[in-house]
Amino acid sequence: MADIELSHVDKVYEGAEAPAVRDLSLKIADGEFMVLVGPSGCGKTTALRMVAGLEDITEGELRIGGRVVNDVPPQGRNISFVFQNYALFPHMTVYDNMAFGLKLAKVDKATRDKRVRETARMLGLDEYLNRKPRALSGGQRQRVAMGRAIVREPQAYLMDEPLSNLDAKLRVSMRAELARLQRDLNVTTIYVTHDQTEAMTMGDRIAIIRRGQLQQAGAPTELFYKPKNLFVAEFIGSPSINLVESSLRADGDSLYADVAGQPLLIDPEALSERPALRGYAGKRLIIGIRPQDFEVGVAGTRRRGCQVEAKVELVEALGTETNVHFCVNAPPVITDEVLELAADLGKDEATRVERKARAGRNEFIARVDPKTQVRNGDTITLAVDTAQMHFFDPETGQAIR
Amino acid sequence: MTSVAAPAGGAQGKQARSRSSTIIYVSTGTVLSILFLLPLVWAVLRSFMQPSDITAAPSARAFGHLTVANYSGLITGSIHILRYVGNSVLVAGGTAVLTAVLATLAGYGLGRTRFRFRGSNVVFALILVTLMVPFQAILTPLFLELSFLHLLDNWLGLILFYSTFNLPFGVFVMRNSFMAAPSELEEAAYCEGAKVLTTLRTVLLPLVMPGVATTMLYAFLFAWTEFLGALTFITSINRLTLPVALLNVETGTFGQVNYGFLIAGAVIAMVPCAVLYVALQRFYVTGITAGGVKG
Amino acid sequence: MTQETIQTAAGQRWAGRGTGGTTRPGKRRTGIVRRPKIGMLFVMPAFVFVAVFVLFPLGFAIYMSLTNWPLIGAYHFSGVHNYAALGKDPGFIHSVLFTLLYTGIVTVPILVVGYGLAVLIRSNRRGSVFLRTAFFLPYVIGLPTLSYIILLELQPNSGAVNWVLARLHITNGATAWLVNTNLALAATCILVIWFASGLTMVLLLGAMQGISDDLYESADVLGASWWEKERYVTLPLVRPTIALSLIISIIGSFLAFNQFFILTQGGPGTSTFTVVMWIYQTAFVQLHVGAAAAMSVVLIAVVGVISFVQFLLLRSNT
Repeated sequence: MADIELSHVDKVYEGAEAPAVRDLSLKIADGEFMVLVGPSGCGKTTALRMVAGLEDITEGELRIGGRVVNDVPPQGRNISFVFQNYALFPHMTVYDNMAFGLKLAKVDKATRDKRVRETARMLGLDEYLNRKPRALSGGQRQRVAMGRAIVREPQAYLMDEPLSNLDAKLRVSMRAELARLQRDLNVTTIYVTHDQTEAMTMGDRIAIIRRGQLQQAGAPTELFYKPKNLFVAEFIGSPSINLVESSLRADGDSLYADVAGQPLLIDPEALSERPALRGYAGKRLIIGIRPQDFEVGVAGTRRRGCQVEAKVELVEALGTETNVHFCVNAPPVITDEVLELAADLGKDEATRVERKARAGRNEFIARVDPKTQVRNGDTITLAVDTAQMHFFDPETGQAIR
Repeated sequence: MTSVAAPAGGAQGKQARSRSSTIIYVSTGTVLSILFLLPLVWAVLRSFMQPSDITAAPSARAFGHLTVANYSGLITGSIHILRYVGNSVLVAGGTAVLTAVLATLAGYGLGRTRFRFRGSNVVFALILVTLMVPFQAILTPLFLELSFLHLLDNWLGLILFYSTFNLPFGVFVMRNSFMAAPSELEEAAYCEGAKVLTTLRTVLLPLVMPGVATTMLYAFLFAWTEFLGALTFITSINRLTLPVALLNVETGTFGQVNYGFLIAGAVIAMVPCAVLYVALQRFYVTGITAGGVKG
Repeated sequence: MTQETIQTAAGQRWAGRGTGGTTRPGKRRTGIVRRPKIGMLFVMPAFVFVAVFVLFPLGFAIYMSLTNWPLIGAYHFSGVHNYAALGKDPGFIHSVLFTLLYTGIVTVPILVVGYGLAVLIRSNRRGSVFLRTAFFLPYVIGLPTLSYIILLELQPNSGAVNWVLARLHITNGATAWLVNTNLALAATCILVIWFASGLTMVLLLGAMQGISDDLYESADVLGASWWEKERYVTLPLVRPTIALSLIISIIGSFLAFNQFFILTQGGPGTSTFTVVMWIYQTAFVQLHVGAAAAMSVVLIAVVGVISFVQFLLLRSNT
């Protein structure tokens, strides 16, 4: 067991213009479950492979257990790596696959056998020990890959999207099992995924990476409630945060945000936590409101100045929650981050975002109590929890604090 | 400095490549490529030496009087090497074309499910059986057969023979090519009213062109370098193909033995192969990996 | 052809008339119409060629082996006499032994060199393509041309081989390569290894490059050294291709003709005759076609068995 520390790590590929990983500094404590998450190509897998030794580190230092390991090959780092495609040796049985690392480490046969069988039992693989990978299902193969990692009792587990090849239902159940396993074994783990839900549910801490740079690292709740920039705010949370450009108006000591013509009073407590906000009076900025922070207006809502009128365009009644789609009379926010995340979801999503931008539609989603009676076409009043509003600088995308 | 030696595996952009592994790679690669290519390069040099230098003890003076006499002698002298080059071009070209046509048709018939007929697997197997029968061993009956068909000493006979033995590979490649073509295109053409041959020509042929190119390349190179069959089946001196013509140069049938002529002739035989191969490499390599090579 | 005409637009009427109910045998109600006859038509030419130039001569060879045909003239049926006589034909026996010896010498080096070449260039670094081209070029150029080139250099007093050997003080530089059986065999073996290792390399390269990088990286992380990776990952996974290369190489060696014919014409004496050369000699020089046919049949049988084994091996691996 060991802690892992990356200090100002850079990775530049030969002939590439931009670095794949830029100035990454991250500390993973002993026994911690750290998730690296971000859109495709952001460098998270590269970072993981550098920790494993499968990629060179261009600049910076990597320490495992306090020891600088930049120049140590993977063989010498005593870590286990679980590949996205499992990388099971097709010509070896499950038993041999799991025992291989121990055999190379010259562990004696008796110990080898004991450890392999114990791990197999832990993972429910004891019946399959004599089978070859091609005779196993996807889920079973995934468990063999895990078993191979566990049996070596390494200092750390490094996992590269190990669940992404499983079908959705299996993925969800494996997620829980994996998290439980890690807790029981208490081994330092770095886990890479592009699925933010996975990140939120599994990690002790999450590190969001974009274009090779660390955006924010912290506990899931921290990232959710206190995103440091637009990218993090947009990446975390489903449905994504609603964004709108707005201007701030000072009225005495209070600040109002003009959201599509409707003024919203900024909660004074929130204001005191964000002193820089005052500097934006009279200026434009980007406001983010999470879908959860809306509530269908009850008659005589508590706070004056915290409501918006909305014409309902679509109601998604999902049973556990209801999503209400409505348009806001303001142009949509199309920043780099927005486009990048849309592109990450696929070409269709990117086209959709572009089309909406051209049509000038800004679509908001509000998540409301499922028992609320809302129908398409209704004009409703939504209360906004302005204490939870997020503010971002329109040039830099940084959160305004 | 890492202690890992040349790592195994395919694309290496990722694994830490120590300097020592690069040194091993470069030095071994250089030495081996010299070993493999030197005789060929040297042959070209030789071909420009005076015949008297070639048969004498080697010395640096030979480089002093390089000449094209060997080539000019071959071309304009009594040997008329171009005649044999022409014969080889004709035979190899004919083989390439005939093989391509036969293999494409057969591959089409075997590769598209709608053409499946009872026994198509048997026919395919029989065509592949050719691979198990070495032509060297059926030379004698073939000789008699060709004689009976009046195809002895006849380029057509040689072409037919060469094509047959390139068919297994060609049919295999073309069948795979056709099997890989999406059926939607065929169906679309069909809806537009195209008949079978038209469909083949306009829709499928562009798709399977790489397979055709591979088949033609293999067939051409096979026919160009083939020796025993040409030796056996062509008897008139004027009709010989290049490899056998060179044999006659070696044994002095054309007059006295002239090593200058021999090596110049060998270079003439070598150059088209090398050029074709280097230029069309991708067709050659895909052909081999596709078949897991059968012959 | 009316049955196969499709009436457009409506889409209901496919093979002939009527919808619903049972399909006619061999025709489907939807999907593209089957045309087995056209299929047969397309395959026929290739098949005819194979039948005429491979299958028929095969049968003919067996028939001929049971006669004592003198190529020109009448022949008589003589049963298995030719086969029995083979055992007493010293030339044939010698050629078989020589061919086996030759095969025994070159087979392993071709494999080892080919394997080594594949290992060298499989990582696709800069220059790999050049190396691959260089190593495969001799194979493409063909054995006859290579033989002519080497012939020149094996000449005792003017060839490059002796010159180099003399400079390296390995020999005195006057070795007469081609008039001594063992020396000629040695030189030819080296020639063939140069020629054929390129093919083995390409075959093995294909197999090696099909092994996912993940497996090697996985082995790295598990602590494997270079040799352990080769032994536990590469070798087991390329074993079928090694078997394939071996068989192709062995069959090729059994059928050797060109290089010996060009370099030594079988000499000195008949000491460097291979089986195929002996068959050629028997059929076209001595005109004992029946005997030659018997030899051919034996050769075909041996090669056939080996090919069949290869075929089975391939089948079991795909």
